[in-house]
Amino acid sequence: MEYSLVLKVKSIIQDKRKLFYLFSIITLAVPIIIPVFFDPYWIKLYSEILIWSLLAASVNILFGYLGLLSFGQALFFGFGMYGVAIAITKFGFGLWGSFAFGIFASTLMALISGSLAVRLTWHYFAIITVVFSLIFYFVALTWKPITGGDDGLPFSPPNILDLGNFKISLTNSTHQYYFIIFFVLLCYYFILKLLESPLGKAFIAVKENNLKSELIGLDTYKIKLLGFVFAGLIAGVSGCLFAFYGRYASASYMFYHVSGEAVVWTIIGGVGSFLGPIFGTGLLIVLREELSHIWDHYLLIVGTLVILIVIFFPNGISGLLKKMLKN
Amino acid sequence: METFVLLALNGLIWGLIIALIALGLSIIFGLLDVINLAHGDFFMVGSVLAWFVLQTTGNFWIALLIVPLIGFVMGSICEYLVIRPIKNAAALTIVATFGLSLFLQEGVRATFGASPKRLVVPVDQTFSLLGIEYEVYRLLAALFAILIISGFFIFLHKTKIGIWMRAVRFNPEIATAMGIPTKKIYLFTFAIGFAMAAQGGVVAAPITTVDFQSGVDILPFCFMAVIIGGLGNLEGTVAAAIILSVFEGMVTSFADPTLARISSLSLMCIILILKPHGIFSGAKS
Amino acid sequence: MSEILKITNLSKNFGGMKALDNVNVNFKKNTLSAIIGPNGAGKTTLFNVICGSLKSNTGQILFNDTNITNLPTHKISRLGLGRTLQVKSIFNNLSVRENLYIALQSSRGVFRLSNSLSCKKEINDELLQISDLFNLKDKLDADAGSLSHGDISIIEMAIALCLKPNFLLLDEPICGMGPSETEQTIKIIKKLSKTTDILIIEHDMEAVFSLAEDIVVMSQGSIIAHGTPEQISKDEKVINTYLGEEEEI
Repeated sequence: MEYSLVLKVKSIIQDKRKLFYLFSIITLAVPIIIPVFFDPYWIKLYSEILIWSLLAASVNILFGYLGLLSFGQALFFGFGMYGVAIAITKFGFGLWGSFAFGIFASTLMALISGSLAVRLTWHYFAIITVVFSLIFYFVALTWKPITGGDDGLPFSPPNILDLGNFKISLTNSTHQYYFIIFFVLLCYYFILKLLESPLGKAFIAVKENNLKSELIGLDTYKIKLLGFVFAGLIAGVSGCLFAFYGRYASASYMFYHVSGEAVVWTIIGGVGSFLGPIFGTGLLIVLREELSHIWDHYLLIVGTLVILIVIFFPNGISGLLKKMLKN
Repeated sequence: METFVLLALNGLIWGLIIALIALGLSIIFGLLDVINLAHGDFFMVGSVLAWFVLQTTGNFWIALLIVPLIGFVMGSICEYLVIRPIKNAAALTIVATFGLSLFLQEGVRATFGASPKRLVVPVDQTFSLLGIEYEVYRLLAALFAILIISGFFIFLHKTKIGIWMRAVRFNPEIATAMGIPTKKIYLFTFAIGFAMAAQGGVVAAPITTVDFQSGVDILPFCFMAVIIGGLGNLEGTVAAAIILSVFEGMVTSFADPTLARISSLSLMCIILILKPHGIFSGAKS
Repeated sequence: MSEILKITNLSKNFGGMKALDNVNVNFKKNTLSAIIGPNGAGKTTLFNVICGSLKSNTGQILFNDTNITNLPTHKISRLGLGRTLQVKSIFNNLSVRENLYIALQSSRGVFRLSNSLSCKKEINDELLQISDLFNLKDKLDADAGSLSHGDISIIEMAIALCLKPNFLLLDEPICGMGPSETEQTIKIIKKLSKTTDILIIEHDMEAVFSLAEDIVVMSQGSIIAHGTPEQISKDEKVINTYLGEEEEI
């Protein structure tokens, strides 16, 4: 009885598609289940975790599947975030218009910077992603009239749907949750499709052996660029959703530290695993939240825990789960 | 014109200090394959330690001598507890040093406090340079940096441990086979890296603020110097640090500091795109 | 044209060293050719330049009358020029099946979200065909990197064949194989040569003389002889070049 349950769980874990459906069902049910056992504040936290997990997912696509370590995904996050905020405050766009604008801006930026960056390998690639993201961080910081600098650019969110008497709005917390969840799940669905596609297999080949990939006719530059643009798009969506969630944009979210955190979340979740980014992001955000209530100097604990996690669980949370299922 | 030269000079001096710190990062990176996200915080700890020593002894020169030694010890502890247990995977070192960075920053915030403090300049004379009263200490700082950097290169090429370090860097398996205590060299290297960054912190403390977050700005600059100078190329690291810093200084003479920072970053972009393997050829691929 | 590969005035310098010194050679169609020569003669460098891994300093390479000089590697591969490497290298962390699959997929294009059912069937059929030809059927699910050196060499050839090359460059395919594996591999190469033109770099003289119809001899970046196996075995220059080397008979 116990054994067959383990087998069932195993079959789900090993099939990304089944895993995705399970995850979607759980996520859709959260606003119904959580209030029964916990404070509803956890619903909000869960949606925040999912938004940030997309940023980690964008790191994961590049690092786990293409072997490219990007320390600058916050750049595209920032373009998404500012795209939404500026479109609403300066151009008067509605919700959908600003969303599209944010995605467009971040994807375009990924195309431009990627076309230069993916020519470089390993450490040089990593450092140029940092350089690019820092340049725009400083631009955002100083261009106060447009971006509000460090103080940020707050706005009131436009309605999702306005039919006169019937409104779907972000100000309603249930509407907001399902709005965010819909797009998060949509992104993970696209990631899943990509990973299972021929292009996704090509990513792995390029990561494994760049030279051999070229010899079998794969245009590694184009493949890496496509991956980079896709990752930038995902990071951009993350930034847009963050803007809608927090109702503001701030240059501080474009700092390299944010990119670095996303890398840490990815590695702790398990590099190259499909839902690893969610685990890693979730664990660290929850840790911070809970510990910050207990002790003012909680970061000492977080720092120590991070070190211990990586010493004892080098394959991340998903690696640990896989190992547990093997036994 | 005068401001241009003076700001370029400031850039040169700052570049020498960065070179000192970045060299520490370069050996940690080159020898241990560790992507040390805490390196900026090693610098910060050095400046904070300098402040504490100054508070207790009132003597800056003692700080200059003691802080690197403390840094060496701290570096050894960090290597033993944080780095050694990780099976040498570069990705894992990112997370571990990230955790270390959080720990160090919060540790300093808890003990030193969150507000930035200024260190009293040990030598407060100025002299007339191009019509401006220029701080003598700045020149001394440059001198210190040059002395320590030169001392480091001499150490690396003329002493037994230095030669061992270079052997391990070149090929750890052969070095171990030759009887070199590789594990101890790893410990030593990390400790020296910490010490050099901390020393940079002491030297820089009188000309910048002592602040628990001061490592955050320094870190990317150090990585850029290491990588743009050519991976594994120590002389390249020094040159890149100086060139980039002087350039930034020059731009500050006619633009605000943030714009100067943006332009030096853009220069780095251009270098990386034109010379994808760093300005000078790296010894490590 | 009856030439599959025409190389004119090809030179490649590394610093001051002339790895390829004004090489002029043509390879005929429907022929199994070989390049031999002492270590450092420039044989692998020649392959590298032909396939685009290295840029030439001067000269021109025509493949089936198409100018492929300094084209990117993946384009050359898609034009029908396949290659195996001297230092055997495949996708280590993938299974043998996955190694072949990605090569077959590549030949049909990767910029798509899925394959049609008929395409999937085609790929699987070809995969079985090729693994049959190279006796890999029972190794398909093994981790490619865990197999023996000789097996990896065979997998390399199988991968190259997935792209349906017109001209296959094999760089020391027999290197590191035992006698029975060598025999098998020579059989496979002979069979392949009936449908694909092959150019092989080898040190094993017995293999070369039993396989090749046309032999090119290189030394120090130049071609010192080019002819039938009979002519080569009698050529004085060739014999002199090899006097310093251990000859494997």
